[in-house]
Amino acid sequence: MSKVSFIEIHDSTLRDGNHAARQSIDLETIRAHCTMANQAGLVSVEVGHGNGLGASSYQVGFAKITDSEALRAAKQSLNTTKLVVHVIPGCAVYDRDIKPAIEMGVDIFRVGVHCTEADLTETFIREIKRSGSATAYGCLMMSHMASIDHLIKEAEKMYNYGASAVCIYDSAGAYDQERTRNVITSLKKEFDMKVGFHGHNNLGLAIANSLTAIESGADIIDAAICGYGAGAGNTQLEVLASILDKNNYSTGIRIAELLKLADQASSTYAKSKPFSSSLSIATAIHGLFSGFAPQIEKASNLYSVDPFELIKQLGKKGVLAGQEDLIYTTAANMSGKNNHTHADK
Amino acid sequence: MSAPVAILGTGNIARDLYRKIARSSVMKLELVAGRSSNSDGLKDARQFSNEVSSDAILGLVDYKKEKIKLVFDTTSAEAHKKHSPLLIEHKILSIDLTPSGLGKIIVPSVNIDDSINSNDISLVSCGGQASIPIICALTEAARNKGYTVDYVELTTSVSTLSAGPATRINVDSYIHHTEEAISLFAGCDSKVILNINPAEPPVNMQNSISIRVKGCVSKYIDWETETQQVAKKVNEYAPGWVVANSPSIIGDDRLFVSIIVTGQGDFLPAYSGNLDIITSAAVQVGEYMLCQK
Repeated sequence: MSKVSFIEIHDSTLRDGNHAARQSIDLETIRAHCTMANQAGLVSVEVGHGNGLGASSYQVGFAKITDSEALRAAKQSLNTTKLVVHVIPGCAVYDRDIKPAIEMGVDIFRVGVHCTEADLTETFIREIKRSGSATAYGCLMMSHMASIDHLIKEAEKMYNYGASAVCIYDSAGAYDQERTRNVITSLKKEFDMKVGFHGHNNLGLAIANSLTAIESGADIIDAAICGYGAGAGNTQLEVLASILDKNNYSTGIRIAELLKLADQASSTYAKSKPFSSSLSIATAIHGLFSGFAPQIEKASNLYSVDPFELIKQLGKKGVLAGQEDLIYTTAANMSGKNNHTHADK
Repeated sequence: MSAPVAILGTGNIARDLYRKIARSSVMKLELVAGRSSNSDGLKDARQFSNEVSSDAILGLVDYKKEKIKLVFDTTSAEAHKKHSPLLIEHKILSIDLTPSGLGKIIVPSVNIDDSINSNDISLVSCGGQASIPIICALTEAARNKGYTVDYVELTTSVSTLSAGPATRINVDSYIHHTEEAISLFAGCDSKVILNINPAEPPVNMQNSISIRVKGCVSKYIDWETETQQVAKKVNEYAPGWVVANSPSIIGDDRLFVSIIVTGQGDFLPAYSGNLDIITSAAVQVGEYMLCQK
């Protein structure tokens, strides 16, 4: 690996990790993590519900703390490190969720949509840019489901709306190195804009894919302390940063301080670490969102159905992140316990 | 004799409505007013409407307005906010199919009688029309059984192909006004989530409703009577409205029910129940209003 310009390693632990923690990350965790992340020189830290601002619900799980509590605690603990949140149109609402977050000092909004629906981000990206005090990144989630040409078309929309970067999310942990290389190279060739990669480790490839993304020209890499994230977890931040450091990449991270943060996380909220469980391998192979695993477990227990058969059925239907309700309805249908109610006509 | 009516807008919802009005014995389509004479929607309108205009709201106001008995506004929430004062000024009855939040909220199976005394009707949104009938019945039944209901949540999934550009620009107002309407009918807090799903083949419109039912002691409550009554009433105007998962308690306090709506395939194929539920409600309310006047 050769030395290139600055690589922006983005810490998604407290947001993606909220999936692993079943949305139970508390204020104490945010304060401790953010303080140490700032000391370690991390560029940016993301906090909030696993599905972003305004997502706390039966559908995707109630968070232990409110968005504004989380943002306040994070902001107070950060100095040079930027504060980042995730927002999904259809879940977050501009006036209710984004406007107050801008006022609370959020620096970067990651506006996420399913990879073929970039036009849903137009209002958010334009409004955030217009606010003058925050930046918007466009995020194409579940990106394994679209062709490279299609991803380019969607990225172009976000670029035109005013996004400062486009991030490619391997939300299912389904990417291999070849796919990563092809996607990132094509996007970098097409746009004069920062490109990011967000990996998941379902198939044990998160670090390999992230390094491939960097070699292919990616500017931003998402990673999590202890790999703490949905499904089998994300790219392990302290591993990635150490490899880059060894190879003379510039990241601004102080490795010794970073390892203290990793130890702190490992002994507190990240005691139980995500790994490539058979369930998360199966979701990746069938192209399902990594965060589905807990709900698949719950629904298969509730309706006494085989979780792997359930994963197969959900994969066939192309169920997407945000459609957690379909996990239950599919399991109910498989169990035969479902009563279809029709009116007498 | 059929009453002459008009449609503002030429998008997916309007085009579905052309076809439904064509079947009505109470109304006939006199005018469709869009913005561009070249749009597919306006070309399509010539088959169904006596007149077409590309002057949008002005086309309507200028056009023998004494003749038009009722207007369906299918444009966008922002556009309806501009249309509404003009329609009121010219004393034209209107039914709004956009999530503008203006006007008297009507859900036919719940409160169609309330449309008699109003000149300005709001149909909330597709998610509101699909969910409010069952939300009203279940929250009322739960309260009658002595439980406390303090929160209702709706997640609606619709196919990418059925969500046109206006729908996409309107997502925030869709959420805001659907929440407002659910809170009004359920008498408690609410949350609405919208998913636009590109899966192939296209998904049917699905509405998953969770109601927080506190003090619920048994997981095996029979909600069948309520469910069947609601289905019967809604099916009078929307035959594709079906309870996909009967109400059941998940966890401690979550009463969960899901509704699938398939359409009659008038303009977009049957998966677009989101179009059908609101256009069917519009025709039902329109016929009711015209018959009462």
